[in-house]
Amino acid sequence: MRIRRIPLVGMAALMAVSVCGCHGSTADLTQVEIEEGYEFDESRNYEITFWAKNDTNKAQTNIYKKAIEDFEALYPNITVTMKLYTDYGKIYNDVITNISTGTTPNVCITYPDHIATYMTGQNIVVNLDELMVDKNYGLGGEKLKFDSPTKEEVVSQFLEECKIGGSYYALPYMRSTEACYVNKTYVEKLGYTLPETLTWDFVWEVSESAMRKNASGNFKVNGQSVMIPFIYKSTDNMMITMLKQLNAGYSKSNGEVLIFNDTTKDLLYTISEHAATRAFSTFKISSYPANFLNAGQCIFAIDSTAGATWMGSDAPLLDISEDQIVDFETVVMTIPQFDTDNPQMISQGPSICVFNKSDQEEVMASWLFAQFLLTNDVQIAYSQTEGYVPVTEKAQQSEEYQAYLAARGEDNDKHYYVKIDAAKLLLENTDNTFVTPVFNGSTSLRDAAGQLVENVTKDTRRKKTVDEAYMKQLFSDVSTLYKLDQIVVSEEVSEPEEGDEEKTETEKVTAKKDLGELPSGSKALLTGLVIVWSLIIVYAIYEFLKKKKNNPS
Amino acid sequence: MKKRFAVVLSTAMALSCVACSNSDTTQTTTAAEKTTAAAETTTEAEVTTAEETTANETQETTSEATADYMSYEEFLAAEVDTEVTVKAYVMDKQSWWDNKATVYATTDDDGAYFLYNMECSEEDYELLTEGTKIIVTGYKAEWSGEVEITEATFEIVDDETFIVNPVDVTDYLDKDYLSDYMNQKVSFKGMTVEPITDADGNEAAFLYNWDGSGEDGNDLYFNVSVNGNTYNFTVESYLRGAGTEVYEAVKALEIGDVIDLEGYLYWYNGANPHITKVSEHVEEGPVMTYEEYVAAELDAPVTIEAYVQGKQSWWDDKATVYLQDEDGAYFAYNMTCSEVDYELLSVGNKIRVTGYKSEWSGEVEITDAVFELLYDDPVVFDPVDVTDKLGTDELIDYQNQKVEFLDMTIESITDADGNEASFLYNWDGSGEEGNDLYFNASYNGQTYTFTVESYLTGPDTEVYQQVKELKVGDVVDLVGFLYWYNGVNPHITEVRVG
Repeated sequence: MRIRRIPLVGMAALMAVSVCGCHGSTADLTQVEIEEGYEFDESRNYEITFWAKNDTNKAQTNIYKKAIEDFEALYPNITVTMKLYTDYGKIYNDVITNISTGTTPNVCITYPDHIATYMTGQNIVVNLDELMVDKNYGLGGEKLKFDSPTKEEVVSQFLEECKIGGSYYALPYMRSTEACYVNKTYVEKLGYTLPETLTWDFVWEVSESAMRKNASGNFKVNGQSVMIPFIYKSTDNMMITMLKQLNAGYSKSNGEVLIFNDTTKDLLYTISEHAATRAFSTFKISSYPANFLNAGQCIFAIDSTAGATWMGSDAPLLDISEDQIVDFETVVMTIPQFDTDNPQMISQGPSICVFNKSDQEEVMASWLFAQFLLTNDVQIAYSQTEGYVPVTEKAQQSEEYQAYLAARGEDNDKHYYVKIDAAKLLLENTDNTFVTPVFNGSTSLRDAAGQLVENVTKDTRRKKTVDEAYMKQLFSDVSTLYKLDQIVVSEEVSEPEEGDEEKTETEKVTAKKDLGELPSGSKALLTGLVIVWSLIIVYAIYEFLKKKKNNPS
Repeated sequence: MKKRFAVVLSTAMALSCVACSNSDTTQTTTAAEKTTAAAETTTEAEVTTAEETTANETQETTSEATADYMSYEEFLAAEVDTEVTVKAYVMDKQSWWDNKATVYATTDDDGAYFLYNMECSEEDYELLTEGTKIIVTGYKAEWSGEVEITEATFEIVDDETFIVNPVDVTDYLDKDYLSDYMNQKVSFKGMTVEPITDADGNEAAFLYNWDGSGEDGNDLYFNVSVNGNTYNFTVESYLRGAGTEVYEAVKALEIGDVIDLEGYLYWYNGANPHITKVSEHVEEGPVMTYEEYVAAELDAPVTIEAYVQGKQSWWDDKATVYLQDEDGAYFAYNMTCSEVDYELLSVGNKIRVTGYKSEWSGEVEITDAVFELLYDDPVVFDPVDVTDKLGTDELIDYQNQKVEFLDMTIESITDADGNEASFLYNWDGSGEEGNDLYFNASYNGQTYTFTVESYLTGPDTEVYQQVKELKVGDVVDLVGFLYWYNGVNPHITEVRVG
């Protein structure tokens, strides 16, 4: 049984707006500089803390434990204490709490969005720019006691995702994307053939088709009383991805919020239409997509590739009893697209950040451990626990990993075909992935994106009228709830981005204004100040000269 | 000339500062002088005696006062301008100024007082927190219809506290007997914001001052209607000034909004409620029986009244609780609830919950709900023995109820690596201290999995530690709530061994 709905991250919105420092502002303070000839002091003992996240999956816990043991064997002077979490939001909350007391962990699994908020504190997160390239202790460094990947061996796209304000503040740890887990058996039973790439129209059409009932009131396609043909796990990803696929506004890298636009509204109307028939629902409203999929009560289940081990009739991890499972063929597909020639899907997954400490040797010990998590042993083992992919080319190209992929379907455990298909989906689509801009407040904006979908779905089910007045109120409520109107838009000039042409009134208010010419009152004040200061200076010179004249030395 | 003007200003400012500080200094000095004099002229033993005496005097005074205070009925019957002594409990503090405090206070039955400009030091004003019991002596007065106690002094009595909840007077607004609730904490439900017109004839959702002549920080006036009548309400800026939640909420009102209000029934040539809380109105349907609730469709609005049996969690102004009445049980998930209200909510309290019937992984629950504390005697239900229902379809009829499973034998549970244990952190053993506990127990040869839900009963609770001590083969009774997650998933709150 898995964790139920996680309490909302209450502090996120608050933190996002209560601090006004812009990202990058603390960069210089956290820069670790390594002097020529520096040697890590191994005569001392270090105790570092590592806050890790697992997907309620014991295999992942075991891999962390083994990584720590292996690392400590190489560096007996460093002791790593791990604290386990099952949710990124909880790690985030705890880090925020511990920033104020100066008790952050040394190393932490986290999301770049969260790091942007951590960085609003003074000197909190270590800038990795210098550390990464140090020839001795950097990535692939000569004095490391393990086979670390070089910077070039880290998948560049994943590494770039860890850049905030032009500097690296994290290392990628694992990457995943979203996949659509399809009950192919039912799609065909409904008279459809799966296209090479799913489109939104296709998914909506099949989903509506699956809502037909028989005389006994059960759904024709599965003969059961329950059928939710289309369930999306992460509704924030849903909205973000749809907007990206339509080249519509979401946000700019300087914190400008663009989400409240007409495209968003149109998408919400479509979602409402299918929520009304109950052809569509969400994790928050109904439950895990996997549970419905495996029970033959869902046809299109969109969830992370990192949830692949729960998907399908033969899934190695199950949340429902065996007698509830229905036999069907599971196909792992890219999420639905608006433009099949230009598929786009989100890149997600945990990253590793290092927290600053007054003892720079302790920071180095932390950095060494963070790097150790990129070694092949850790990367390959962890990626095999779910539909993750390793973040280094070194691991991806290794014989061990390639053999793992080739063994697809040989068993329903390590080589479960759905899991390996999910990993392959990302490997084949790495160039089609995107990330959203990271800034102080981007976590709140992400939550808001999901809230729009959740509210529309829930309110439609509750027979509320979804019209223009509703949309206006929804945008206003969600903006207020997540304090989006208080996000500080940084001064840095951002390049024109997708959706710029779609600015609405709300966004125009948020956007940085061209202040134009000074008002006449201001001009008069400034002129007055100049005159007064001039007179003071003239008077001072006059007094000085007079004094000098009266008291010639 | 400017210099001269500046000097005048500076002098005026300095004088005013001196004036202010003088008045403060005078008081402080008086107190300090008394203290110093006492310290200089008494020994340590004498000081102790003096302190004891003072304490005794206070007690004596208190007991005398307690014997002498009027009932609320007697207060109502007293003539204006007669001296009155009443017992009251602080509801709210309106203002403190120049050693004078203005306070709303309640009786412990059905009345309330407006204590206007009582003598009160700033230090004592700080002590007047909600619920504080005081004995007040002053004069009954009436000012523009407002019955109050003026020229009063008070003493704080520490023996008890009392917090009153608002009385819903929505339906009394157009009744003569509304004045019976004068000064009480009251609520108004389902009020529609109506336009209010300023002195220039402009319409708005609210005005600064009654005619729109004010600015931010002044009293707010707004109109609301119910049952076809429109009423004028106030946010009194001394009571709740700019920046307070209610002040800002009223500024954000729009004509047509339907809201619930709370405040004090002040009187000024008629009812002039001083509002302290504004919230979105949630339409309450008629209170359902458990049978009606069960029959309601998913996503339908529901209103039920039941007794809190377990508080699971509070987070981000959302509370999750187990509820039960004589016929069945409910799980209210993430109800809107402030942290203060959550603290006030006790097991046994009766509450009215309005929300939507939902289902999540088989668990039928009430979501997006608001609740109201009702004032019935608390009820805590005994657990129902459902041991014989285990493994049967009947068990779901007890969903969310407090239940017990008797004579259960602890069995081993297997983690993801195939290791056996008497309990696991998380379902597969992937967790650690602080996470949910899972354990197996059998009855009649069938084994079932039970959970200690860490939000409901975390590592600092007895049951959490007890389960960690269980050994395979132990025979125990288990008590808990019959939660559902893709099948029965009892949340155990008590283990009885032996």
